[in-house]
Amino acid sequence: MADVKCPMCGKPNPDDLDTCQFCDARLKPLIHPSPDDRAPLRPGDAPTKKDTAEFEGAGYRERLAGQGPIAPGDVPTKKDTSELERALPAWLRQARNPDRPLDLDSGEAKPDEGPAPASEGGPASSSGLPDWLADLAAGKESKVDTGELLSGLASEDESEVPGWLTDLRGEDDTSAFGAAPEPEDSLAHAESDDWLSRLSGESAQGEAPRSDWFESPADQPQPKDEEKEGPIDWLDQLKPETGKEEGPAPEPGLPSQAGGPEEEIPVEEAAPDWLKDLQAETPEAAPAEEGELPSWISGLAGEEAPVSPEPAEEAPSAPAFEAEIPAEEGELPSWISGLAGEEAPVPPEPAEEAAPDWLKDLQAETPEAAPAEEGELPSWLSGLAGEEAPVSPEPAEEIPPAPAFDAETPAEEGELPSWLSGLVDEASLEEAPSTPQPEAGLPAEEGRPDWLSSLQAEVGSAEEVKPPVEEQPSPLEDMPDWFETLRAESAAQEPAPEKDELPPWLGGLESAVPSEELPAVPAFETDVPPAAETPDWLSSLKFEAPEDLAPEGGPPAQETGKPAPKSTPAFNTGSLGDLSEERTPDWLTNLQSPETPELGQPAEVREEAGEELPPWLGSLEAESAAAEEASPSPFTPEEGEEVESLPPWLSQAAAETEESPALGAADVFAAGVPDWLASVRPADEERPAEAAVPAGEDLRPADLPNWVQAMRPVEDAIAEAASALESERTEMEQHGPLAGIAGILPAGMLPTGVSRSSASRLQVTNTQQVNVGILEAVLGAESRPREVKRVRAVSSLRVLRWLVTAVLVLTVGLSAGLGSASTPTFSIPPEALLTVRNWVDGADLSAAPVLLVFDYEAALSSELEAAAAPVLDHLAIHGAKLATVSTSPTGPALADRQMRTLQATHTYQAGQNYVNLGYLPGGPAGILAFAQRPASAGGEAAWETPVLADTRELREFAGIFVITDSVETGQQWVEQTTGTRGPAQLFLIVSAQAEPMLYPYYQSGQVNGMVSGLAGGASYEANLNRPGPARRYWDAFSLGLLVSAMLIVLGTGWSLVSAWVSRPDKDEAK
Amino acid sequence: MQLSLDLITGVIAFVFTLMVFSYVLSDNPVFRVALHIFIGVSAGYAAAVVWHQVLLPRLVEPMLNGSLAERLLLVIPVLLGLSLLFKISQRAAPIGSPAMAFLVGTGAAVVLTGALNGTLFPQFAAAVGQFDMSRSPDLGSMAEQFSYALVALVGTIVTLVYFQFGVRDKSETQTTGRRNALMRILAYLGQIFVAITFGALFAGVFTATLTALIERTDFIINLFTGF
Repeated sequence: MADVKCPMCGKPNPDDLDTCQFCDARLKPLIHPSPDDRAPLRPGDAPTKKDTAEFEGAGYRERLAGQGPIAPGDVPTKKDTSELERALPAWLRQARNPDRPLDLDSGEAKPDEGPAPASEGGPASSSGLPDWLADLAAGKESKVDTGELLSGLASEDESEVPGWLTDLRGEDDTSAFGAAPEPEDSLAHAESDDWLSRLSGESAQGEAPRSDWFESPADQPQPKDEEKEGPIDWLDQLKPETGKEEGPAPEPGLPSQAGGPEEEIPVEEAAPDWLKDLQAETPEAAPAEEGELPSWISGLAGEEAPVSPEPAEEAPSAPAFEAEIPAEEGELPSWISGLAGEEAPVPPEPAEEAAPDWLKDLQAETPEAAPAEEGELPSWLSGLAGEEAPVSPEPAEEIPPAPAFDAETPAEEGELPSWLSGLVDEASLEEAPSTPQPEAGLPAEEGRPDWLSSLQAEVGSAEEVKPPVEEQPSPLEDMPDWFETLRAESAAQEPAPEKDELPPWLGGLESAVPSEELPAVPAFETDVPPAAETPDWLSSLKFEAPEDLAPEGGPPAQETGKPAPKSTPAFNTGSLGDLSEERTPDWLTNLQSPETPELGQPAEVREEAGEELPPWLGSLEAESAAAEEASPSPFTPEEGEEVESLPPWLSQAAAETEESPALGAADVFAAGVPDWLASVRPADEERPAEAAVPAGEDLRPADLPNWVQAMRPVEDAIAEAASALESERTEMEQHGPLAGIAGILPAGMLPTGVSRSSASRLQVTNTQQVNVGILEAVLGAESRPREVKRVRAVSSLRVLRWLVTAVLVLTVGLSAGLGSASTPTFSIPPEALLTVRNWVDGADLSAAPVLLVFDYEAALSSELEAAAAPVLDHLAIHGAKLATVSTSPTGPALADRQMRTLQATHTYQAGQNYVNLGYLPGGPAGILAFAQRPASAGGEAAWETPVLADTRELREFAGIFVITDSVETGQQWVEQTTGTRGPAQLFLIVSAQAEPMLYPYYQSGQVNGMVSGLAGGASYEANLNRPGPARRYWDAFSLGLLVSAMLIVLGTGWSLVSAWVSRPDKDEAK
Repeated sequence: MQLSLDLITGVIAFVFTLMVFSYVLSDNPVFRVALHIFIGVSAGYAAAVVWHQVLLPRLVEPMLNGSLAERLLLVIPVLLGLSLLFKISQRAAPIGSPAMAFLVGTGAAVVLTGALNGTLFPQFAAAVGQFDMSRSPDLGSMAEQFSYALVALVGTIVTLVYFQFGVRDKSETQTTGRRNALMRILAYLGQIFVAITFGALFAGVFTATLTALIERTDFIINLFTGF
């Protein structure tokens, strides 16, 4: 009994144990046997041939419902489908009745169920069910992530989910996958196909009639009879095509079936057309059906034959795979077909008849494959087939019918909804790099594709079981860098694989990973559900699955005896890289970077590929040169051919995934992502290979959004400013204390003043401008000299003035010239004059001096002299001593002049009879000071004269005669001497103009007498009867006053007449 | 002919008299020249008088011949007098401000004191005393005196009313700003008194100027008759 290595602890366990005896990890998946399950086909068992005629020409569902195919135009009749409920997969039933839980074991609804092993859940006749898919998309699976979606599928409908789909879940949970490396063969074909038997026979252990990996599902308590029976028939039909049906064909790693295909699907009855085609492609039974096979499948089949060292008839699964593809290829969208093409390398057996041209080319390389099916294969799938053909390094007999999953994918891709297709793309591209696990536990080679066989051979070489495996070259084109390094490290330890048998990407796996660590090949490869039952999206997922389904640390094939799931990222990329770019759609071609090198291709391939080989691969080539030389890949020329046949878009996508899986995924995302968002992704951290690219070679400016690009001129301006500053900094000062210092501020940069251009202009409205104009006019008129009105040289007024003057002059002149004294004087002199005359006549003037104040101007001297002359004459008659003083500077001179006139009639001498005290400065203060201390004026000599010898104070004067023409001077003398003059009499000899103002002082008694003007003098003379000057002027004065009065009257009369004449009339006034 | 000083002075006086009389024709340069000469001569004569009668006898001689006390006492007036010279310069004018303040203050005090004691109170007493009928021996004299006093009183009151320009706004409707009728009548009477006063003053001026004219005419006649 072979030991089963625990996927968890890695320790060997007897294969009859379900759980690990060391860690209690489940070694075998729980599979609930369905009533229709047959005994699982063990490796080496000859599958019984089933009648699959019912599948021919009818849809699978219709067959299940017992209906014939609905011809176009037929009205479908309602049928009772209750019996068919059981035919539905559990997950579908769950979808129809979501309230009922699923029983993972039985596929029935179950209240509660623990988590099933990840490997459980087989395809179980996954009919193309867009309904459940819609449910999943809408309700059950809110998350878009493919991995979660698949996880949900595994958890809820794991028993019903196809194995390959379950393996997809393993992309996300590699440990779970590793814990259940045993692929669950859900379909009967996995048990019955020859290639399965061969796989079991080729298994390293070879202990059991079936391989270890296949044994595990068989050891499960409930074998799935129905599954075994179902696919057996159509697989039996495929068997002749492979030519190795009798052999123990252990199923290759079919991870998709690991979930246990509990679905009770009568495959025999519901075989679709494509299955029939597969049957027809089998050498024994279906040669006539080649025409129904698409050419691409034929191509796959054709390519596979030469790849595998075994005869073509030993690859039984290839026809089946090829038969599925054309069945629904027409429903496939082109891009999904491309994706299918990416993953198509696994199925190496296309049907040449149905294959397109490009596949036919590949098919031509595999003459052993069914040529009749080439016509049905699309060309791109033919390329895939051709690509995978070299993968299998094993003989044709040992190749298991692994391409079943490949056949599913194209068969149902057309049904895949768009959103799920996107997920498919994401999952395939993103998760590809995360699962670089080496393959371990290779299943039987008969049911596997060539590449899987090469893996097995590699493992065998490591354990001395299958030396050819070691000869597989390492497809560097498909390997990431890290994988290349691993490969380089292991290159020395492992013998080079056979070039002709291993695809380049698998070669990389071979060289990089020790054979013991190779994960089991995913069982989905051998899972060949009816294409009609598999939805397209599942097919696409299935193609993606191998990238991630490889369990890490999975038990090697020798130890587990079970088919190791093949889950290397190179699975897809390698095949994609081999696809010709001609088939790649344009959009995918654009995604491919021109600099993106292809990873993992050997030198030969690159030489043939020519320009498609990326340059960076050259470095990798050097590392793997030794290993590749030792194990030249037999697929090298074929890959070169496949590249040509690959659709261009697919080639481009493949190239991207080869370069860096993460990068490829990101690029695919970027296709639907705005530019700016695409540039945000943290791709640098996930892409060490790109980080190694020297800067400047691969870098290109980021695609900025428009609004960001609109801001770029700012950078230009900054750059210009920076350059200007830089140039200024470099300037060196030539002069001054800063000479020799660079980078100083030049003087020209300093602001030198306010430029006029910077002055803001005042905003003035029109109204303000008008007002400003008015103001300017007013100011101009003020400053402009006024025009003097030109007067006539001789005006009436001037004539009048001249006339008045002439009258007065003539009157005065004639009077004065004639010397007449006809005019009488006042008969009664004024009282004030009489007071003076009386005081002079009554006073003792010899004892006390009389103070004469001469405070008048020279202009008025005639009047005052005429007025004062009779008084002075009178004083002199009385022999009064006279002391003169004046508050005016001209006063002393006038006093001297008056004294000289007096001296003419009287014998008065200066110093003897009179003394001139001179000028009294200070105005009122001087008068006050003189009144307080008269001796301070005129000097001491004056006060020592006989006139003033006995006099020191003001009161000691007999009388004070103030001769003045000014009211103020008269007032000052009155005011300032009021308190100091004592008994001294104060008399005023004033001008006629000052009399009215000083006369109140006489009336008030402050002034003792007053002589006023010429009239007063003339009166005084007349009273004295001593004619003097006053009398001489009196006639003239009197005549002059008369004439003046007459002129005044005439003038007044003239004015009145003028006013009367010039008055307006009443009518005019009105 | 022997030119006497009186002839020279008489000729000069005659010329300047004619120059002044030329103003009768209009304001002419001859009149202005005569005017300026008179002003200059008067200023020069005043300066000579001040120097000879004030500064020299009251400042220079005491400073030169006086005692120390007299000299020290003269320092203050000398400094104050010199400080007044700084009034010429606008910047140094404040230096002469103390002396100017002293002069103004002293003069104001003297004038106010003299006005109160020599004019206001005596004139107030005289105005009131006019109604003292005791000085009138008989009724006629008393009536005459009372009439004079009444005229003086009325003339004083109405003249003061005339110079009263304030208006009391008693009602909002009175917007003309005119005084009431009584005030207007009194003001009008005061205006008459003021006009009579100015007429008397003008008559005094006219008589004074007429006297000057007569004198100048007599001078000219005598001048020409003297030859």
